[in-house]
Amino acid sequence: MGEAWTPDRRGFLRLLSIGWAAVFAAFSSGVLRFLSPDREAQREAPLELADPALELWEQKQLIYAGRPVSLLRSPDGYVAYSAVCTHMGCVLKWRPGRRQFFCPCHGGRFGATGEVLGGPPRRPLEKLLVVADAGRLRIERG
Amino acid sequence: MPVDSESNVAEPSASWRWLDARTGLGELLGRRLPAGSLRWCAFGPWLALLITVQVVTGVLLLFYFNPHTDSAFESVQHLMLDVRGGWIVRLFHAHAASLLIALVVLRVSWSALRGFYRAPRQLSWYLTVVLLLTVLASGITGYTLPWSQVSYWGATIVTASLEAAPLVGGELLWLARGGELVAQSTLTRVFAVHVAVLAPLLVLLGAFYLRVRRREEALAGAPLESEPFFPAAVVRLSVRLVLLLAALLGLAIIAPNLFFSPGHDVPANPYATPEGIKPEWYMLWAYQLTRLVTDRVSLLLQGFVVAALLVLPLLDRSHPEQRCGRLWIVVLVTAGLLTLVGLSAGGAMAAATEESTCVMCHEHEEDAELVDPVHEWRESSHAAASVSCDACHGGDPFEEDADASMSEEAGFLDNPSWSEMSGYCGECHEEIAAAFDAGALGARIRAGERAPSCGDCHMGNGHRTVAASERDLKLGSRCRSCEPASLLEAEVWASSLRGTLDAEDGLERAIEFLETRALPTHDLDRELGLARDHYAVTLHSFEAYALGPAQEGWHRTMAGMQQELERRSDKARQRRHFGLVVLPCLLGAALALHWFGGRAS
Repeated sequence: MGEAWTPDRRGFLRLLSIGWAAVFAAFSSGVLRFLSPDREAQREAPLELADPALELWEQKQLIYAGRPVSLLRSPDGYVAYSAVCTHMGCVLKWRPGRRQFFCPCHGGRFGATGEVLGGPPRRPLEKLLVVADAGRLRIERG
Repeated sequence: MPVDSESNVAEPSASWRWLDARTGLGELLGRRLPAGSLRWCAFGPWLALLITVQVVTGVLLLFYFNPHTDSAFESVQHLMLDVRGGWIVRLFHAHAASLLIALVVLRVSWSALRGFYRAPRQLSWYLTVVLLLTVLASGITGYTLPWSQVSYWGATIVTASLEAAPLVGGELLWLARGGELVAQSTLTRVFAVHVAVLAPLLVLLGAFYLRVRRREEALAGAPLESEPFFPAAVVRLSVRLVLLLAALLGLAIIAPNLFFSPGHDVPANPYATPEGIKPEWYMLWAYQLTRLVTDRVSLLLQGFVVAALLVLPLLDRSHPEQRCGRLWIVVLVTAGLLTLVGLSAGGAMAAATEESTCVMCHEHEEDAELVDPVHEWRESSHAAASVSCDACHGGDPFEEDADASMSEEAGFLDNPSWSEMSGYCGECHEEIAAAFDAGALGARIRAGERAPSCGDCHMGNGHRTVAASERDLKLGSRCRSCEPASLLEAEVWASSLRGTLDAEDGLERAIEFLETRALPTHDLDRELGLARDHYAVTLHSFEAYALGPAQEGWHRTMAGMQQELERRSDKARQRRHFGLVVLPCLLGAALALHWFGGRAS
């Protein structure tokens, strides 16, 4: 009786192993879904502020959607860039004398139009939309 | 316990027999370890002891640590300053973590060089590699928890580097941060992983490693120790534990900041990355690699190193009796280790900013008028703060062509005239320049009068701003040489400066002393900075009526700080006394254990 059962028993154990593997895979996928935060895009409200009357090449750091933003007075008027380095996410410093953004972490450098000048970053800075209207500025993602 | 006089063997007590019958502990303690497994340089015992210290101190830290972005830093400061023995627990945990990483790194390096991945030791080799990854992950998550500047920016960079992974990079970043940004969700995850995943994993891996090593030694036919585990091995382990505690206490007393990076004692600020921030020593190689190659290449190289370690037993199947593995593997491993050491050294020495071409060119000029400013600047507080020529003079400090770097297109501004000076300095010293412009001297300059400006007081020694001219300012000699008519006024400013700068120097020295003893000083630093800024702004208005109240306010603040500084200095002294008493006791205990253990064996 026992000998007759052997192949079936092996088959049953194989099925059991596959079943447990499937349960484990489903469980792992569920755990991953549980740990992954909801990525539904949230529409960020524009940042509105009074014209800070910056001088040419003067910069002001603002906080927009929880991230630092650089508002810069260029010869063409106000421009705004994300002040987060596109390399590893450190906050950039504006060097007015050099007219450059400098990353204190790995030495990345960006020009006044957000282009990469040197260091490890490969992508330019994210440019934000600045609308000036009746002495007020509105900054938002373009 | 009764002793059998003939056999000289202690007869077990009833309670021991009861426990032994139910647990088999007697058999466990009576086992013999493989010969040599308790040598001083053996890896296993030190691994077990360091993991034990980490678990015990880690559990104690949980009673005070608050894993919330608003209070994590404060809870660590509270632990270091106010909780009895809190400083020992925290410093032991932090230093033992570094020692554990150093131990596992050494073990992996030694095993790779000596070919300790060959049969029958393959499994213990894999376990050592996994242990290395686990202790590194524990270290990284551990230094994120206090939510200091190093924690925050370390977490930002480590999680950002995951984004470079092909296909799943974005998902990994969100998974690690718990969202788009490093925030509360990240701290919660890091805390959970550090405490509930990595710590138990480390204990299990450590225990499994010891078990596997014992079996591997048996497979290799290694002889056993002549004496059972108890008491010989227990005594030897006790000696090592006491010595380890003495070393950790010595580190906590003599060099408490040895393994900490600058910025560990400043709370996280998500909106300002400090200049020249660097990771802990064991991640300096990755930091330097990130500076040299793209983030994707860096991540791939790191993955390649781990993969290479894991396939090593498959690549080298030479006979285990040979002293080392195959020659090409030894060469490859040596080259890899030297690269790691070189990268770490490069990372440790990497300057926060690149040396500007202004400095490099002017330094080699023959004209003293062009060379001297560079030499003077090197001694200045500007150089110490990485503020280079272009901050005042504009131009492109990375352009190698001299004409192009000093062109109008590059924003070159040349030397400012005395009337423009406050505008130049005001680019950084905003509030002080504004007070100066609005004050008495600013009004005179606006009226076209040649009144003293920033450079007249602060550049008395050329570009050696500011420290070198401070002495002249305190003595009033700068004021008198500049405006001999207003001697009385000069004495008012000089006497005010004397009183405040001397007091400030004393406080700064006291704060520096506390920092070297790992006592929290962030709050005092901030208070001193605010008081100093307020006084400096008032002083630079050069309105005599405002100086008196500003000075009084300054002295009130100083008096309050002095009291607090004395309280903390007392704590620093108490800790040193504690160390002076306990350290010799621990060393004596280790010696006594060693001696009695030898006699008992």
